[in-house]
Amino acid sequence: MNNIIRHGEVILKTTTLPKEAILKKETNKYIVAHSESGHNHVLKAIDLSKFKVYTWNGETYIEVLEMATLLHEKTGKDTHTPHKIIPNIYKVVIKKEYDYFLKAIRNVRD
Amino acid sequence: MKKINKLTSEQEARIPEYLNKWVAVASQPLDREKTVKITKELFGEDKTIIVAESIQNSIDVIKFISKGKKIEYNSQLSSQLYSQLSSQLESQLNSPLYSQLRSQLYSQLRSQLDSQLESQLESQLYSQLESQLSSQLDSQLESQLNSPLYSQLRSQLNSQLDSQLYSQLDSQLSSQLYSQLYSQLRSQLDSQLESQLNSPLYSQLRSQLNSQLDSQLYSQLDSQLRSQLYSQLRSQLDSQLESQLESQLNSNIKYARYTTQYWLTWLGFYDYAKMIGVKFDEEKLQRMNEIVTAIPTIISLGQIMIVIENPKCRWEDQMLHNDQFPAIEWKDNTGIYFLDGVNFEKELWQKVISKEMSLSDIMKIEIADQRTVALKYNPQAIIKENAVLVHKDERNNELYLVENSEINEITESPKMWFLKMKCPTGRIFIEGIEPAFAEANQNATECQAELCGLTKSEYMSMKMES
Repeated sequence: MNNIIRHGEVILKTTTLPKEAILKKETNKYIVAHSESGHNHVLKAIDLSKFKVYTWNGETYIEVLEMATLLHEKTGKDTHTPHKIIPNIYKVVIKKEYDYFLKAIRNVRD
Repeated sequence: MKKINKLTSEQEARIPEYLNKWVAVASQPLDREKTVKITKELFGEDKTIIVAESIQNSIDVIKFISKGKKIEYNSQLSSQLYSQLSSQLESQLNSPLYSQLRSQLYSQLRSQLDSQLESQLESQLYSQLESQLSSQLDSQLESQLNSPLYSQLRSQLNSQLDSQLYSQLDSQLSSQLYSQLYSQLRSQLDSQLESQLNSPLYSQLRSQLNSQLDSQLYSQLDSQLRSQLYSQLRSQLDSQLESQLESQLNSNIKYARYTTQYWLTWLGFYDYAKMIGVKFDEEKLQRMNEIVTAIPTIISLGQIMIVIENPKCRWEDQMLHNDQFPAIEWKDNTGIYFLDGVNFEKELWQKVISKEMSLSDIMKIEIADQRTVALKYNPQAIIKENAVLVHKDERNNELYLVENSEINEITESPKMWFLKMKCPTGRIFIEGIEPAFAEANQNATECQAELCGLTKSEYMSMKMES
């Protein structure tokens, strides 16, 4: 069964890693959804462990090897509470919306 | 030299890299020593170079340089304003309000002065009369004490009384006589005082004093009021002049400054072209690079050259955009506001991002691009006034349909579908749904799952949500 985590406009969905996926980086901190105002959604490894970030076909995949935390770099009442992320392969999905003015689907910006 | 007709896929893939590189150059802080050196090379070693932190800072610098000369800065404007000042002053002095104020002040002051005058005159008259009557009293007393009757009485008693008694009697008689005479004369004094206060002489005196008093009072009042009014008007007009001069200065700076930043697009293009094999005159290209990166924006004030520091730029989807800060922002936090690449004045930008605008407020915006962005950022305005609730699910997702309204005409969308939801943080979000999908799936859960990139069952199985 899929494990699905929603953190604001960010959705992490367990999946299998596509064979053609390209390893972009191994890191202990990764901005899953960037915010110009600095309120990024960030995946952070616990302790000194690292996780792997892959891309394929315009999508991002993360291989979490040790327990990590998904948190919101923001303070105040609008802050999304942190989630513990258990080891698995996750596909990063950013929530979409339809823009009637652009007549196009685009990522939700928070 | 071989002409390049087609990019390889590897070359094409590197376009975003060059785009990002040169967009980043536009936000690089200046190397100020280099800026001063290159500006002097271009404009002359005798020039004074100032690097301003922002456009606002450059305006402040210019105001500082021209301080004390602000009136001379635009003599036509200042003479126009001071003629306005005189005219306003004259008009206010002749206004009913001024007359009323003058009359009220006069009445108050007059009443105070009358009372003082009355009291002073009374006191003076009383003192004069008292002195006169006191002298009469003494004289009458003396005269009575020396009268034949008094002598006779005294003589009769002399024979009966001894010298001690004589002395006591003399004293008692004197005292009684004085007391009687004083009472009579005091009564006369009061009567005379009353009579003099009502006499034509007193009236004349009072009238003369009144007239002098009026003249002095009006003169003082006029002078004080005129001075106060002048001071108020002068202060208002000075502030008006300052504001008009600043506005002119801002406008002049807008047109007097030269921005080289758009040349960065060419530098980026040449840089990329070099990478794919185009040959350049390296020396000239290098010089162009130095000038454009060292002097992004410059204002020339004769001997003084002001170079403005690069701002920080905030981009989203390759458009200048930010809903929390100016999308173009200088170090001193001043900046230029953009949403989706559309420029806004700060006040309107604040209204738009507040997400509390009504549809009528939005429709009043004259610039179409701004109106479109305002509508996009205020979907609650559309929902509130036009929408019909189509479906609500157990997770409180609400699907709305908007049709036959002005907004449908503006967006050329006969049907607009929106999902309203409450985020776990408590905020309300309203997001558009692709019309074909919503038409086919008129269900709030289906639509929410679609926006989340999930199937309906995946969405319903989601437990971790924040």
